[in-house]
Amino acid sequence: MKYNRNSYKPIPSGTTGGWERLTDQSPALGGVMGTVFDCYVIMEDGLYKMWFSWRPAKAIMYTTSPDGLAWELPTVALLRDFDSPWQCEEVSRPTIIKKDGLYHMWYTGHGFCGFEPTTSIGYAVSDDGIHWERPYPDPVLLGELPWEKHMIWCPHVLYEEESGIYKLWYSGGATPTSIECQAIGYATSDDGVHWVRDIRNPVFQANVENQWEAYKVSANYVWKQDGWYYMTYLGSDTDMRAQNGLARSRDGITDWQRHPSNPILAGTEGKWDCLGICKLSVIQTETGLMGWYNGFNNCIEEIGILYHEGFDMGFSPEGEKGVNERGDRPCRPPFNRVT
Amino acid sequence: MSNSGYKLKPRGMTGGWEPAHDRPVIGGPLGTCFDCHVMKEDGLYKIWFSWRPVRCIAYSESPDGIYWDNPRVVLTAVEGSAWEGHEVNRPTVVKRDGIYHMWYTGQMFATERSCARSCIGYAKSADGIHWTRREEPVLIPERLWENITVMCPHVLWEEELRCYRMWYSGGRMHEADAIGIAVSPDGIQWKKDADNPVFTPSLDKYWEMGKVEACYVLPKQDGWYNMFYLGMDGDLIANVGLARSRDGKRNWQRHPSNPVIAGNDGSWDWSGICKVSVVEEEDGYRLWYNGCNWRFEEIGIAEHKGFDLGFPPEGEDGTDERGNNNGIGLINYYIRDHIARF
Repeated sequence: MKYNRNSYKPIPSGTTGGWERLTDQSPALGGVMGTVFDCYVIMEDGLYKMWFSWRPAKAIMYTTSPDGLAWELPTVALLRDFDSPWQCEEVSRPTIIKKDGLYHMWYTGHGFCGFEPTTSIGYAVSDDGIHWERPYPDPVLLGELPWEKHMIWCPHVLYEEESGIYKLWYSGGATPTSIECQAIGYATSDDGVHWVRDIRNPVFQANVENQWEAYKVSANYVWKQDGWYYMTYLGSDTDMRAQNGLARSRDGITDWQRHPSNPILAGTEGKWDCLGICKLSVIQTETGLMGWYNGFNNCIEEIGILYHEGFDMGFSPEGEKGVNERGDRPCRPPFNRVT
Repeated sequence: MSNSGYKLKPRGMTGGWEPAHDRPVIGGPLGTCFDCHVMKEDGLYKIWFSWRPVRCIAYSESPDGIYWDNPRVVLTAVEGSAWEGHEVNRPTVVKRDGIYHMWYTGQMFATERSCARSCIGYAKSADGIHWTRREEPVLIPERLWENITVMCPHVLWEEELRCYRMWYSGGRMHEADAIGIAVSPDGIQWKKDADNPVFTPSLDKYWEMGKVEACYVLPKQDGWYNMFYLGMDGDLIANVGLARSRDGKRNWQRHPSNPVIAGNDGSWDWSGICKVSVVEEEDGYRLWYNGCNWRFEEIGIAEHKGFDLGFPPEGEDGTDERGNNNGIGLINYYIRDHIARF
């Protein structure tokens, strides 16, 4: 595909795939609190529980809601640790599992190695979701491989009862000068602490055929439904705009099928989330899917809410391309953000 | 109503304009260099430009418009001044009767002692390097549309009218919003036009729905004033358009392929284009502009062979070279701007 450099470049806007923005006029969390981002939501006994990243405090916060829409003022759940070099700057981007009566959290620790920032994945455990212990002084996963570069972040963990295995998807490949990670890796563990990386890593990479995700993919959220692993992920275009796409795979590792109307969640013109979308957290309700995402404007990042009626995610049958709701606007411009 | 679709961002150059060099001609290790004025005298190119890291106006010379001598500072902010105490920038220069006349923007930023404001000052020089300036500004924001800012002066000596005419930008300080005009017999006492602003954003054109400002007007030619202007889209991404008017004030006809100078994908100026300065050569035009990338702004050069700027006949719409612009888009930039950034 030849790119006409003196033409129009299409930038996707709005939602597709049956997703509806419930917080159209103003976000659910943010505003005077400043930047709130990368959250994880669960529902227990009719109560919605959210852990989210709070940039001004460089901490992970906790809040609850009876309906997932209106949230209590948050409580500190996890702070940075000045005595721990790998998490002395900030802690963020939590993922939570409740198992055997305990909450297990994997999170991103930000630190310094020499003069360069680093990020690693840490582990904490709690019996109430508010007071956390960090049983290990070191991260449970460090950026070590060439593709992971200096930084890995955005852990997402599933525990699968049938196999007794923890499955971790994480983002890697950020550097001190780049804003986002490059690709998504996969690892497994018997105990959530000792992880074995998949030899096929990274298992999900940017696709230069799609302008909106041509540069990077990262910050995924995975859930199982109807024999598929569904994954939302952050795609970065050639200018480093962030949007959110959906893909699915039978094993969560290989043969990812992308949604024909990706990005399913792009910035919405004239709204608080106009400039782009980052991470999405999803739960299944009786009637469909609810999602919480951080969108951003020219001022800060804030958290809003999505709803998807029913469970048909709008994929075309396997092997078929499907129809793009926005219409096809193929475009392969050169990469700008690296200029 | 569905909110889903594509926003269309114009890229590259149209209307016969082409990049004249594949790299910026001023910038790089100097940091952000922006809003310049270029003049050609006796085969020598002279440039006055705004130098952001040091908040002053600098000057340089070049035999070809591409390779410039080391710049020297020619105008700085004035310590203690109530209107140009923090930064001076955005010069325009007219040479008349052997004297260089400069109008420029003096700025104050919000501090414990000052409110944010931009005014227009005046200086004169025998050599373009050593300047004598007036202590007081020659234009200040007074009208409602001017808000806290008048900036980006562009001045022509109108021989027919026997006066100077200034096109200037007014409104917000982080990028002005519209363009007004004023006239003066001496370049110091200015009378603003009662119909100001005379050029405002076009809400049905995404690329310039946010703001218009920072114009450069060519001397009247073939009965037209041709004006290059900076337009900002709903995300406040800047590109440069072209319009023309019979009297330089009313009935502006916009170029059908606007913006004629937009960011070039894969190039140093990919993120957007700001103010231009134009020199008429024997075979066409040369144009210096500040382009943006993710790090800073730098000054580049473009050219146009011949003098037909590509307007359709009066009354006709003409054809957009980029094709049909049927995208969506709204003004996003000021959404949630009442929130403290942290």
